[in-house]
Amino acid sequence: MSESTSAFNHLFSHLVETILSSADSPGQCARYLAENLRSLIGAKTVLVFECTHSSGLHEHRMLSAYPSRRAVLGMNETVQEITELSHRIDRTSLVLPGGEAPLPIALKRLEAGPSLISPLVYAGERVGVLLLLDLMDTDNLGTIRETLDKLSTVMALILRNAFLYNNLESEVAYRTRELVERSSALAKALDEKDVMLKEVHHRVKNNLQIVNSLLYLQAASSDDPMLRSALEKGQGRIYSMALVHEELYRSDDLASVDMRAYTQRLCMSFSDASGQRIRIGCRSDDIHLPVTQSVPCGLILNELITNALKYAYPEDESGEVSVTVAQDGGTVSLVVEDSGIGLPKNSDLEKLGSLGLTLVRGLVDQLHGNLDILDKSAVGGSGTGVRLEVCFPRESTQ
Amino acid sequence: MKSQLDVLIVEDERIISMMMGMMVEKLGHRVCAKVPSVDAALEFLEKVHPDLAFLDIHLEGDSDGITLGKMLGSQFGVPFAFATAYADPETYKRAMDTFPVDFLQKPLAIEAIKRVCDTVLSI
Repeated sequence: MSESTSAFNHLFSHLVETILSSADSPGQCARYLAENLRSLIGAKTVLVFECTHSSGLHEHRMLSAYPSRRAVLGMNETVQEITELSHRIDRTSLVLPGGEAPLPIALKRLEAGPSLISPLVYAGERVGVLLLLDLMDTDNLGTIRETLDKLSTVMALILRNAFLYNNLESEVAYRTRELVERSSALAKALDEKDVMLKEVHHRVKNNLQIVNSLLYLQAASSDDPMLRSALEKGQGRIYSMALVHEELYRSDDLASVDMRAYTQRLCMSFSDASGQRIRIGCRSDDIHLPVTQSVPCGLILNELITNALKYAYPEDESGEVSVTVAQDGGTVSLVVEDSGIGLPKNSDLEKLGSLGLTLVRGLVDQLHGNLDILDKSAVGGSGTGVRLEVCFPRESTQ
Repeated sequence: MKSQLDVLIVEDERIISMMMGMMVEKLGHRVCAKVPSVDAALEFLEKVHPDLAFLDIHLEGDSDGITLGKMLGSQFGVPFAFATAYADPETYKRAMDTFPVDFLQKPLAIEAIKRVCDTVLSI
């Protein structure tokens, strides 16, 4: 190894170190590279260009020129042409002006002497090109070309990383902005949906109240006790539905009904109506049901409680009706139990033909559940009264 | 001792107002007026002094039933009960701060009306 080669290698490794130490600033790297290569290799002009599809550039963009007064060359059409033509080169090449090939022709048009063109390639990806124009000395170029190939890989890596990093930052900023915009739009839409749902539940409840009032007025204006009783039953049914909407309106998600609160309020309204004679006991697990299940559920409870109050304790007898809403795994059970006189003797349960029970059967079917009627006195036990239990699979509230 | 009350009903939903009126009468009391707004109520109160008023909270016009409740207590000395479908905690608190006889939730049952009337009679 000659002395000059060794000195060159020494200077060169210093150059690589310096470039690597300022790797976070590709502009500074390019400037430093251009400046030092010029003195190291003895070129009149050194230009560093960036060009890569991953930089989003369709043409070459000059990163640095040395001496800087020749920066205007970056805009030169012929230089641009040379950078384009450099795509055909896969390693550092010496180009001499003149000749037939496009690069030498272009170089001649630029009135430049022998020049080195070194593509900046990293991992097969081309990110730019180094142009060392007008070499003062074309001896010993073998070593210079080899080292330039290595150097260009380092420079390519720095450019690519800088690009990826910048790109990542702006991409992250963009995505973040997009997400923030989307989520605030979503939040607004959700708020609006909540307001609308509240309004709807409120109106439905209001309308049911009016229906309730209409039935009351109709009942009150009738002299026929049968008709009055029928209308009052209708009123009770409407009331049990209005309560569902009341609970929906109060619920946080506006989609599920707190069955514990519902059952308590329903029982309380029955207590108000039944006075002191019949006590209504109410117990419920913490269950939330979707509207689709809570309306039938409410109507069933209404029928079962109404029936118990009407038939269990005749002739002003006092007693208790207990209402239980419980959940066991995915099964919800509604139990209404009394200790009254039991079912009429010899009654055929299937033919027990009140509208109330018909409604219950239909609603139980709608809930894909079962109705179980137990006459406690008929099974020979010591107890009396009737126990009605409805079990159905719980639907998710989501 | 008085056994029949003169009752004022302040309710903007006419059918509900009619039902309440009928319930009050069924309980043996007298409806002295049914009005849909605070303004109409105040106009009426200039001339007549009822024994009891039922107030909805959301009414026709700008003022609500809670405003009227405050005036009934402080200016007119008329006992009153709210009867409303709105029962969010904030409204409820605001309403209870006016010291009503009762706070009834709609839909209304005659038993609730009776409870209020009986309370006022016992005062």
